[in-house]
Amino acid sequence: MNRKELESAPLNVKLDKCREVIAEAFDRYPLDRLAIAWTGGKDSTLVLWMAMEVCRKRGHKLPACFCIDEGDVFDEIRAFLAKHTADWGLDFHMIHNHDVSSKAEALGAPIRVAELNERNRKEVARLGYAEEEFFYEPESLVGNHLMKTATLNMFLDERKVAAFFEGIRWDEQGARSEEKFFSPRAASETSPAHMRVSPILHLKEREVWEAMFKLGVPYCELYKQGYRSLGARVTTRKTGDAPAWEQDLESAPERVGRRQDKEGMMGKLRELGYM
Amino acid sequence: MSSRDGIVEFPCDVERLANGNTLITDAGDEAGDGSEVVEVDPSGRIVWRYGQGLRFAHSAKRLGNGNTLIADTTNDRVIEVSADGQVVFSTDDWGGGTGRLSDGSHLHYPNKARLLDDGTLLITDRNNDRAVQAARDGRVVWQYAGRVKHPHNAQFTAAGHLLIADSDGHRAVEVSRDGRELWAYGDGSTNVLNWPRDADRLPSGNTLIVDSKHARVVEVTPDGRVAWEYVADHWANFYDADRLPNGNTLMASQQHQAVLEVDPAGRVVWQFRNYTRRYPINDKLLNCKFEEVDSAGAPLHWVLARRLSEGGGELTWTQNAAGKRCPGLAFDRSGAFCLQQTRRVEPGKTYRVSGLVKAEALKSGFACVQIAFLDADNGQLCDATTSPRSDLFSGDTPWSRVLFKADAPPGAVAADVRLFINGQGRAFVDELFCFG
Repeated sequence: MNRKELESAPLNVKLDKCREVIAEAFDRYPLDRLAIAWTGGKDSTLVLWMAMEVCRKRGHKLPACFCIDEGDVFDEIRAFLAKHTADWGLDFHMIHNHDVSSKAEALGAPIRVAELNERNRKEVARLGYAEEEFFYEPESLVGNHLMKTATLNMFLDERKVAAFFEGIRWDEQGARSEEKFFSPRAASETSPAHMRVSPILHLKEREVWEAMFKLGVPYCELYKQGYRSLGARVTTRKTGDAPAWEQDLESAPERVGRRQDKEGMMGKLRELGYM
Repeated sequence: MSSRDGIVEFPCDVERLANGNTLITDAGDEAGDGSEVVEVDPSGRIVWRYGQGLRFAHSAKRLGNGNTLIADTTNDRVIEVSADGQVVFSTDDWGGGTGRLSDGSHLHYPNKARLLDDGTLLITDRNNDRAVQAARDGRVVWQYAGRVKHPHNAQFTAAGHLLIADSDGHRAVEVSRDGRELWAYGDGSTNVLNWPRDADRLPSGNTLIVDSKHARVVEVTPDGRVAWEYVADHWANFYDADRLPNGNTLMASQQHQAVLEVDPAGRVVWQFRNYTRRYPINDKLLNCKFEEVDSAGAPLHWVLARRLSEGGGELTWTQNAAGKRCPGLAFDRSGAFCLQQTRRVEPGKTYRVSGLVKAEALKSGFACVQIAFLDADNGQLCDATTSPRSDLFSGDTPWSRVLFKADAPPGAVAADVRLFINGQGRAFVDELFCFG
């Protein structure tokens, strides 16, 4: 099935494709070198749910799950992650760049590059950032890189991760529209070579909600309050008062509630290893 | 009597008396305290003062019998006090002590009261969007209502027409007793007049208008040409202006806490200002996580700014997910209410304001975090509605992070950093920082 056929296929065919991609990853990589990125958002929760299904069917355990705490996680997402980690018995890791956050009094505070550890200084240098100081803002170029990508790199490096699942989709962000189900990443100075596996690439936003309801996948209460897309608190706003799935998903972009200068920065961030 | 009595923090109505003294109505400080009426002599000495129970009083007229008629705005009443400070008349006594007029209404945020020759009162009743003429027993004699929005300082001209500053309609309007509009200045947009709050008809037939948000006092001819104007070099927010018999103009600059007499060439020939700040200016914000409270249980170093709260507003508390107490503002009416602190800034420097905000059942308004820059005279450098701010929050929101940058403009020496709320509901704040 080519991309065009896949994109216009009915939901059950699309979901079978998701399971096929997940199963293929389990065939290709040892379980202890696989991981699942689980942000608490709808997309990664759907990926996690289907990975659990596939594992049950195949009769093996689920790989480790991780969430990047970029320093500004919604309380509601923390609670959602904690509840389902316990309910589902997950091997879950909240990963965080303590070296950076410990240098900032609060969000928005200045941090001196010279005060960071060597690994983080190296990550700043990779960006070509030459100032002595930056501001602790998870969604600025330096902040996003250190709090998300560098944190991810550290996790991949420490656990020798060969591949991880993520919940990105073709239709959510221009910079993700050309992504493949299996997308290899070369090693960098701070991260190992690894594979990004994206089982729900071909689902549209509305189909994600249809799948969530059809499969009975739980979701964070923020979606019910009118958030369509969840990121850091500082950049995430409600897109309406109606639940996300009742909003006009087709004419306004999904990430319209996210800060748009970062959205424009996505191409550059992805070059550096961001999801 | 507090130590702040006798300090003019927010001059509104001004009047040059026959004895050469100046009567000034001071609406009080940012916390909503210290409203009073003071009479100062030409040397600036306070020779008479009345402040008992006043809240955000906007105007005072010295009557022929020596008494003073005061629009006690936030108390929704007009009172007359004698020279020795006795209240000899109060609209609170109307309607058998209910304060109601004969039409069943109650004054709501009156900002001007005048005693007319026939013994009736002309009251500008701002939040009822009207000017009402009432007998001393509360009987409504006449009113012009509903066709102006939040008016100020209505008066009758010599011809018996009503001249009124239609403040939120951005016009000065003259109407006949039968309600016909005879003359107007301003096109309803903020281009010509922006929030006019006073209009006086001069003997020449011209009209002197206070164009508050343009920091301007302007005299216009009947055909709408500008005959004279005085424009401040800062956001003065002038309130009232009177043309004096000597040709000079007396005006109140709320933002610089000053009363000025300006000659036709625009030179300041007399000034009254005795302001000193009540609250400190800190080098940086203190108690940003609201962990310390004062003896009254309010967040230490933070000021509950009630000046514009129209008599409403309460400090409230909630808990965040970690169980920590976070302060908030509960509000239930029009106007605005803030929790704020002042810090030092340097012009040209960029400041980052960050914090957490949560709105709860907030209707007909919004909450936000805001930074308002102040000049060396403690005047805001721009209108609060245009000061840099975060996103607006309304309805019910989870704790949301706000983070925004603001460049301190030329002349800025300090800034108020605040949680701001209007409308009906609650807003909470935590971790409110300002870096730079």
